[in-house]
Amino acid sequence: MKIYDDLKPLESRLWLIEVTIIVCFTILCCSFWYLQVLRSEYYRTLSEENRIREAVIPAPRGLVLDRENRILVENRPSFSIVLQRESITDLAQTLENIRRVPFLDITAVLARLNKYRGLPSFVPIIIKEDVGPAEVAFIEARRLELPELAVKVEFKRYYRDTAATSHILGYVNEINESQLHYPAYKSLRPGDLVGQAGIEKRYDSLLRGVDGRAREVVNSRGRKIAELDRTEPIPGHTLVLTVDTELMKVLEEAMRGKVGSAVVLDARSGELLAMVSMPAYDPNAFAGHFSREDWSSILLDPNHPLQNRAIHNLYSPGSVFKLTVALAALQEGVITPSTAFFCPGYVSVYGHTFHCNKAGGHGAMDLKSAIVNSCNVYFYQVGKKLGIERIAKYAHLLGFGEPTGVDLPGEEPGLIPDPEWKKRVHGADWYGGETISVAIGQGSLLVSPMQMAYHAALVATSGSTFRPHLLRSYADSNGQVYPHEVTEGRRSLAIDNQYFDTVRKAMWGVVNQGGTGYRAAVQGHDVCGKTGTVQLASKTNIRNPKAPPSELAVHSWFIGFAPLDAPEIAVAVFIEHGGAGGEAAAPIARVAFETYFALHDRSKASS
Amino acid sequence: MIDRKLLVNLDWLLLLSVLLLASIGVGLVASASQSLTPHYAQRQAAWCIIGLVSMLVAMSIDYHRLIDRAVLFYLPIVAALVYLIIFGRIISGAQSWIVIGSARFQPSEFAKVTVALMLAKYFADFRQNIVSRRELGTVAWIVGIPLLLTAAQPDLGTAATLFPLAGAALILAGTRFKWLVAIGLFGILFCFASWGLFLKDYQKARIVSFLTPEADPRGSGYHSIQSRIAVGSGGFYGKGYKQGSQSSLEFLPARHTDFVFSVLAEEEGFIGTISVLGLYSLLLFRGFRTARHARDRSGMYLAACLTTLLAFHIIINIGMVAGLLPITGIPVPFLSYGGSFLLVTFTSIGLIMNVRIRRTVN
Repeated sequence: MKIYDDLKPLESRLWLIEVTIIVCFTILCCSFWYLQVLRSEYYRTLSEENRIREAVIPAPRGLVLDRENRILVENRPSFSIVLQRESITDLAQTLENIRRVPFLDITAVLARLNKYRGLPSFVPIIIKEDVGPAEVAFIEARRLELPELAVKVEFKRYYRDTAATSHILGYVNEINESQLHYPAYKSLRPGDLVGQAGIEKRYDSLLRGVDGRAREVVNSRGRKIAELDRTEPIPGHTLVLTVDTELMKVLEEAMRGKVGSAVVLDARSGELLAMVSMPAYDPNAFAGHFSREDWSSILLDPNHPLQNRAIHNLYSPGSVFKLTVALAALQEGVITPSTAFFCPGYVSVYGHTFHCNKAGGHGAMDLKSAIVNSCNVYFYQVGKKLGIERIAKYAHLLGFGEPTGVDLPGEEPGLIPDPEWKKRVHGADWYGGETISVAIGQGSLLVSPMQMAYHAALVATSGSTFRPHLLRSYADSNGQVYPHEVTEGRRSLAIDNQYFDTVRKAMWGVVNQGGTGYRAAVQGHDVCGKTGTVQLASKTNIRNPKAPPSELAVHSWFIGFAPLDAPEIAVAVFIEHGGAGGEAAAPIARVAFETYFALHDRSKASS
Repeated sequence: MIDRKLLVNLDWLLLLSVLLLASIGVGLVASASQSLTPHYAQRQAAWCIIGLVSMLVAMSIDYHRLIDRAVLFYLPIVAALVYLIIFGRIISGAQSWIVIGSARFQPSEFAKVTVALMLAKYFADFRQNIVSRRELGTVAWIVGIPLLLTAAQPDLGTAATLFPLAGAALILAGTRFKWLVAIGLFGILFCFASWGLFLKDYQKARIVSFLTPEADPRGSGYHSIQSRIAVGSGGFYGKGYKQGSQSSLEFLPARHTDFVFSVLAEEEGFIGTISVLGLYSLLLFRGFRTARHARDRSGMYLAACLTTLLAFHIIINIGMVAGLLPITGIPVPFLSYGGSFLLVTFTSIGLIMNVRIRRTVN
C-alpha cells in the first residue's frame, strides 16, 4: 500500500471548482459595490420613504360669529366607525362580524371598501358616520370580537340656526374633481373639505387654516412607531359677520311657509343685518363625507332650497322701479315735483293702449300722489318724455344692472335693457312701447332682492351708503383682529339731494298716508317704502320655468327704509305669489322694522 | 482521543474564521430579532456551543473510520426521510422536522454530511482519471434518493444543496465535459419538472417575482426589493449596529434566518459585507487547501465536497440577498439562525479539520 496517493490529477481538477467559486465571489463583491457604494443614495432614499410617513393634522376650521359675537358655525366632535383593513385576517369572517352589527349595512360597507380599495391598508375606512353614544359603546365594548372596527373622532361643521342662516353661511363638502384644478385650491387633495356655498365658500381661504404635518416612523405594516417632528396646524380665522341672529330668526319665522327672500341692510354702512331666503335647508346635511338621507330631498325639492333667492334669482322690479324713473325725471328736468298728469285709467301711446292699475283712473296726479298711489299712467307719460337711455343711465346709478358686490358667491348682475342691449341680444330695434313698460318696472328689467335693498339704502342716504357686505372683521388664532373695511359702493349720484327728499317724502306717504304700503307701517317710527307687483309669470323666475299652479297669482315686492329723517335700515322683501301691492311683502318688512327698532332700543337701554 | 501530535496540523486560520463568523452570527441574530419574542441570539449562541462540541467530536474520530461506516449514517437518514414523507404531515405541520422529546431535527440537513461521506467512501479507491457510466449511475443513486425525498417534502432549497456535492465529486473523479453539461442540464430540467411536480404556488410566485420584482412591489417581489433596499441603504459604512430601519421596522422578511446577511449589509455597510465575504473566502480557501494536501483520496473527496457544499450555501444565499438569485430558503453558514443547520455546518468544519490534522502519517 502506498503511503501517499498520487493526487496530482485530482488537484488540477480541484482548481476547476475553486475557480468557479472565485468567479462567483467576485460577482458578489461587484454587486455589493454597485448596491452599497454606487447606488447607496438611491436605496437610502427608498429606505427613508419606507419608514417615514407624513401624517396630516387637520387645522380646525374657523368659527363664524354674528355682530353680537353669537356663534353661528362651530366645530363639534363627530364619531365615525372605521374599518382597519390591516387588522383583517379573514375577510369572510370580518364581513360576517359586520353583518352581526345591527346598525351597519353590509352593502354600504362593501361599497365603501370598493370605493377606497386603492388606499394603503393602514388608512382606516369610514364605514358609518356620525354615530351616537349607543353605537360607540357597542363597538368599544366589542374590541376583542370585532378587532377590525374602531371609533374615530373627527371635527365636523355644526350650523346652529340652520333655517335662518343657511344661505348666508353655505356649507362645506368634499372638494370635487373640477375644483381640484382651481389655483386657489392648489394645496388641497381629494377628500378635503371646502366651502361650497355662502360664507364658507367666499371666505374659504380665511376659514380653512393651515394643516399641520407630523413626520412619523412607521413599520412595514404602516403602524406608527415614533414621531420625528411635527408642525402644529394653524387654525382658521374666526369671522365676525354683520348679521344679527335675532333679527334673522324673527324674519325666518315670519316668512316660514312662503317662498321668497328678505334683505335688511344698515343703510349707513351697507352692513347686511339679515338675509333670509325661503325655503331654507339644513347645511348640516352636507357637512360630512357621506350624503345624508335628507340630502336628495333637498336637491329634488321643486322650490330649490339651495338657491339663495336674494342674489341668485332675478325678478321684474314692478312699481318699485318708479322711484328710479321719478329721480331720473326730476334730475333731468323732465318734470318738477309739482308736474301733474290726469289719469283716466288708461293712456294711448305709440298706438297701444296702456292701462293703469286702478280701472277708473286716479284723476289728477302730481309726482307725490303718483308714487303714493303707484299710478301707471303718470309714469307712462314721464317715461315717454325721458326715453330709455336716460332711464337706463339712472337705473345703473341707483344700484341695478350690475352685482352689488356683496361678499357671497354667485351674485347675478340682473338686467337693465336699452337699445344697444336689444340689438346685441335680440338683433332687433328698440321700440317705443318697451320704454313705456320699463317706466313702470315691467318689460325686460331684472333685479335681485339684494339690489333692491341696496337701491333702498341708496335712496335713503342720497347715495352715501356702501356696498352691501357681510364680513365685519376676522381674527387669527393669536387673537389679532383685522377689521374688514368696506369703502366702495358710495356713489356721488349726480342727483340733487332735494329730489331725493321729494321721493323719500313720497315713500313716507306710501306707508303712512293711505298708500299701497300701509301694511309696513310701524307706530312711532317713520317707515318709508314702495310696493311692487310682478305680473309676468314666465319672467319672474328665470331659474324656475316650471311654474306651480299658484304661479297665476302675482309676486309681491316691498322695499323701504326707516326712519325718514336719519335712515338707519333699508329693507327689501320679495314674496313669490305674494299678491299685488305688497300684500304679502309689506308685513314682512314691518316685522323687520319692528324687530330692528325693538332690538335697537333694547341695546340702547342696556348700554 | 486526539493525539496531541495531531494538533500540530490543526488549521488555526480555519478555526479562527469559524469562530469569528459564529460570533458575528450571534450578534446579527441579536440585532435582527430585537422585536421578536424568543431570545433567538441566546439560542443561537447555545447552538454554536453544541456545534463546537460536535465539531470536536467530528474531528476526533479518524475520518477513515467514519467513511468506512458511511452506510450506517446514510441508511438511517434515508429511513428518516421516508418516514417524514409518510408520517410527516401527521406528526406536525412542518414536514421537514422530526420531533424527539423537545428537540426537533431536520434529517434533510444531516443528509448533506452523510452524502459527502458516502461519496468519499465510493471514490476512495477509484483510480481512473475518467468516470464511466457505472460510477455516474452509483453517484446518481447516492445523491438522488435523499434529493428526491427532500424535494418531495417539499424543500427544494435543501434538495438543491445536494447537487454541488455530486458535482464536486464527479469533477474530482474526472468527468467528461459533456457529462458535466448533461448533469447541469439535468439540474435545470429538474427545476422545470419540479415546477409542475413539487412547487407550491408561493414558490412559483417567488421565481416569477425574481424575474420581474418591480411588477408587484407589494406582492411577492416585495421581499426581494426590501432586501435590496436594506443592502443599498447601508452604504459604505452602514447605519450602525441595531440601527437598520429595514430590519428593526420589519420590512425585511426572515431577517434572522435567510435574510440575516441583509441585516449585516444594512447595519455594517460595504465594509461589513466585504469583511464577512473575506472571512468566508478564508474559510473556503483553507477548506480547499485541506483537500489539496489530504493524505489520500477519501480525505480529499470529503474535504472538497464539504467545502463546495459550504460555498454553495454562501453563494446562493448572498446572491439572493443581493437580488441576483431567486428567494430559495437556503441559509448562510454560521450567520443564519437555525440549530440543525448550525450543527451540520460545524460538523462539516470538524470533518474538514479531521482530514487536515491527519494529513501526515506518523
